[in-house]
Amino acid sequence: MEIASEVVLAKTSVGCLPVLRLLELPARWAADAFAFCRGPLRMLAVGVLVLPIVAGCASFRSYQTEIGRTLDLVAVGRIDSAIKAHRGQTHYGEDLLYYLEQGELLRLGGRYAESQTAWFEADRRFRKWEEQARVDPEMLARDVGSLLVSDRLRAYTGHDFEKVMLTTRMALNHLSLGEWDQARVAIKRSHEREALIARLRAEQVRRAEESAGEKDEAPDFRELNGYPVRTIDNPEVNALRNSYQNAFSHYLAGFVYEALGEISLAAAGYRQAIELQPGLALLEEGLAGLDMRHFRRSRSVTEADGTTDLLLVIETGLAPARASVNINLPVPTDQGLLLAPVSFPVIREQRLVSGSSAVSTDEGMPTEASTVTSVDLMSRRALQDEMPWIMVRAVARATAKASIQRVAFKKDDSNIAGTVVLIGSVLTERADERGWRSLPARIGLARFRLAHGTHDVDVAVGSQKHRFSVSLDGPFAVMSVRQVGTAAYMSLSPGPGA
Amino acid sequence: MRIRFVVRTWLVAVVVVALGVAGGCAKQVRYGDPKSVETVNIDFGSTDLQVIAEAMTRSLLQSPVVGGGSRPIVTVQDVKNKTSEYIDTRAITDSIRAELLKSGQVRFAVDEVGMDEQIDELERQQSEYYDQEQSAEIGNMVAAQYRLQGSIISIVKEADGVKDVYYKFNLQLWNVRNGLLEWSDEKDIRKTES
Repeated sequence: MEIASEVVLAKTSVGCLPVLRLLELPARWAADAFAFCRGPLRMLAVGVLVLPIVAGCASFRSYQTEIGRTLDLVAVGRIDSAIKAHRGQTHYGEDLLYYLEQGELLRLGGRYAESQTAWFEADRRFRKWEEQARVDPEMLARDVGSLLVSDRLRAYTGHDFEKVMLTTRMALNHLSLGEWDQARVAIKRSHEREALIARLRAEQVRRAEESAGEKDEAPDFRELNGYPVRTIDNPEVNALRNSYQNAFSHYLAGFVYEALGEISLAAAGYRQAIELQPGLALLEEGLAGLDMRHFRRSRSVTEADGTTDLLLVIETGLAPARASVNINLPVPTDQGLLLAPVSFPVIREQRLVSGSSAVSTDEGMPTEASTVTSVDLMSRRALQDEMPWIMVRAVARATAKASIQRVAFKKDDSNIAGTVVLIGSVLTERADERGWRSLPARIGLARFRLAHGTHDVDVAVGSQKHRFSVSLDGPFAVMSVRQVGTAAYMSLSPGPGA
Repeated sequence: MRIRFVVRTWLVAVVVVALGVAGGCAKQVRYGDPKSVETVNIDFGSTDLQVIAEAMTRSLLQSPVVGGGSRPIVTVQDVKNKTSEYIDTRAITDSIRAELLKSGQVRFAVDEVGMDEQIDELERQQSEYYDQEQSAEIGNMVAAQYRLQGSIISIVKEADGVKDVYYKFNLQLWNVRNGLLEWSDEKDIRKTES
């Protein structure tokens, strides 16, 4: 038996005791009912016991396996087949994750209006979450289904960084459609969403600290023997201010505000981007050159100066997948400690292409697009932040399952109920692997001033080289290039007033 | 035993239904006083905007240039946002402009932001669709005598669960002809959240 795991159990158990008492009660009632039944009724009772397990078959399926097939098609450039394949995966219903993934696939396919429709649905669900969180912040921690069977049964409400990323990507879609004013609306929603998340998480931390002060320290995943701690606890992950704010969203906000002539807001966007990702020349030049760019434009108010300020967004790879790892933890029963497998989510190391991309145009300005945002790191930071709560739920669940199992064996002489519960609890013990996988792993930026007209833009990411022909005729434009596997997808926004 | 089982089942059902009903309670929406003090969080808010606009308007109206009765022509320029917050400084200058206009002591020339629309309209009126007798002629726009510009900065400090934010809003009135600074004032705001 591992000492570190015992420490974890001791810490998590302190907070779980009231929950465990609550769970033991229905377990006793269920066993009473089972013992009361005889003959065919008992078979029916077996069915009733099995039913929740079968009904919760979401906990058997692997989200990563299912979305993986779709993403494989994306990686070879078969985007229409990917959209079709994803629509065919009806197992998860049209839930939040479906709309998030579907919106991204449609964006890659250049179907921006359809993509927006899917993302509006996802946004509607996030807004519902926001409303609930505003009224009752504590409800976020409650979910009895996950305590009884699996975290996979929890309603998927999205990770914090996904909530912010959604409105940023909706802004990109608006830009692709030439709707700069609508992009501004989506960007403003990002600010509001960030502020709400910050408030909720601060409140959550405050409560956790108060609770830890009263009872014991919060559970620490670093003490879990066998857990790959370095994947979510390393200098790069810890350097992030939090899991949900990112420099790209704020730089894009700055660019859109600047394009719309709102300099005071543009300055805030660029400044926030610098604070989130310090030391990047591109971000610093965004703010330092703002007044000069604005001055130049205001001088040429009566006639366009014939150039386009082009923001090139280079997105690579896919957001990392979560997997399930089983770790044996000692669970207390009346017959002593029982070693029970408890599942935890992990994010394995993934091989990403080099952090920067080479960009050049036919006007002979080769430059390097530095990575300003890593969704890969944000995912890891999100998991790091979630781990204490995941551990509390996982240990409570394991103890509850052991408790139900013990009662079932004790009350039913035939041991059928106990065996069914045992099999069910082992089968359903899988960590929640869900996450918005079609998001890019990394986002890089480059900025050019190009003369109006048609240009060749060369983008090299790792060993992959792509050439795009773009036609520019407005004062501002945003060009997005997304590379997944060997495929590259491009989107160009007509600028405001183009 | 059977009775006990049935009673327990019903109890569970009642609890589940009660939880469902509680969860489905509708939220209330009500109107509030837009001038009431807003302290939802420490970020720049409506009260800060109103306090700054009122203080600056009051001070400007008492200045020799504006209060002298000459009805100077002013143009509003950029108020630089030097904070990390998304503060729309145009909303502040719009409020100041509206209050000054209500006083009748100041006139405003088209500013940089409205210039594009102004030129578009002038050019549109030169087209064949308009009666040229009534159309505004190009070259008659009145230039501003003064320009209003400023900045807002913030200093944020946070320690031991206490967050302190200090805002300083500065506004200046410059004479366009001779480049003299005719008036300037500041408004400080300090907020603490714990």
